[in-house]
Amino acid sequence: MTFERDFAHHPMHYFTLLCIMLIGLWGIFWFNYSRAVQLGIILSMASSYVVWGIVHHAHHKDLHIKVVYEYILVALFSVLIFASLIFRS
Amino acid sequence: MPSFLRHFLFPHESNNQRAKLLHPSSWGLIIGLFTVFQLTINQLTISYPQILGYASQIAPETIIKLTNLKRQENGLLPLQSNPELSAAAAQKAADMFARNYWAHVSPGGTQPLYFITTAGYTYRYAGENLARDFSQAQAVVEAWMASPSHRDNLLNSHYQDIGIAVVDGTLDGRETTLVVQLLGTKLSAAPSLTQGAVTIVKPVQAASAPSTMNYEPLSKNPKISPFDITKLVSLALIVIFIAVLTIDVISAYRSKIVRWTSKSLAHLLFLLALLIAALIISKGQII
Repeated sequence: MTFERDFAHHPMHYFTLLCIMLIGLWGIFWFNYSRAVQLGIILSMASSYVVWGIVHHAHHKDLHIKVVYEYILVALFSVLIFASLIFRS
Repeated sequence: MPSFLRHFLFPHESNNQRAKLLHPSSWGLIIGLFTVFQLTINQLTISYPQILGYASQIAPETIIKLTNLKRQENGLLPLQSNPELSAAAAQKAADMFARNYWAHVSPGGTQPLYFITTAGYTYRYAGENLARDFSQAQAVVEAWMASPSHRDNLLNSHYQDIGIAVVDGTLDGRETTLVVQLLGTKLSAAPSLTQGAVTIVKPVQAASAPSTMNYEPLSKNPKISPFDITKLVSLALIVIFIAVLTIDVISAYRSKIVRWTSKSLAHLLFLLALLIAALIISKGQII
C-alpha cells in the first residue's frame, strides 16, 4: 500500500499515535524534576509505539516479524538515547 | 553526489527504495555504536577526569540571592544566611560523598536534621533541598521551583535562616557537584503566626561522625561535560534520522513506492517526539 492510501485509510491510527506522543511529551515536560518518572514515561511511549506498529500492520494484514523488529529497534534507539541523557544529567 | 551517500541516505534501486540508514541492520549498528560511545565516556570520565568531567560555576551566595528573590516574588520575607546551617550543609555533603549516597537520609538512617543539630543550630523548623550536577545556580533554583515539594520548602513562611554548601566529590564513581540547601528557624525565634506549621522531625538515629573531607565552593577549570557531549551526539543522530525519514516519506509519496516495511511516517513522529524530549532534558538532578 502506498503512503497516500495508508494515511487516507487509517487517519485515526496516526491521530492516535500523535496523541500518545503529545501526552508523553507533556508528561516529560511536567515531571522535569523527576528523572525516574521521565524514564518511566519514555519506556511507556516506546512500548506503546511498538504496540501501535503491530496493531497498524495487523489491520493492513502485512504484519511480519521483520516489521515488528524494525519498530522494536526504533523504540530501543529512543530509550537508549533518552536514558543516556537522563543518566548523564 | 557520491553513490555511497545516495545509497546511505536516499531511497534508490541500490537500497531497495529505502535509505540504507533506515534498514534494521543500520539501526542495530547505530544502537551498538552509541552503547560503545557511552561506555567510552564512562571510562574516560574515570581515567581522565581532568578532561571529561563536571564543572560548576555555582556560588552559594547566588543560590541564597535567587532563593530570596523567589520568596520576595511570592510575598515572603528573605532568609538570612546562617553560618551554622552552612556548616551543617557542608557536613551533609561531606557525609554523602564519604558514604557514597544520594538521598535525604543516609543508608545508616542519619536524618538531615542530625547535621543541623550537631552544627549547633537548635531548630524550631528545618528543611533540606538537594541538587547535583548543575552548572548554574539559576538552573538549580529553577529546578527546585518546578518541583512541588521543593517549592513548598523554598517558599515556606516558617523559615528565617538559610545555609548552602556547594561541594565537589565523587559519587558512584562519577565526579559530582552537590548543592545542599538547609532552611530553618531557631527555637529561640518567635513562633510564626501562620497556621499549618511544618512538623518538627527529630533525628531518628544518630550516626557516627561523618568522615572528614575538604569542602570548598567550586572554582574549577572548565571541562568537557559528559552530559553536553552525550546531548550533542544524541541530537545530531536524531536530526540525521529525522532528515532521512522526511526524505523517505516525501519520496515514497511522490513516487508511489510500495514497500513491505515499517512506516516511516510513524518513525518520523516518534523521533520528533524524542527530539523534543531530548531538548527538554537539562543538566542536574534534585531530590
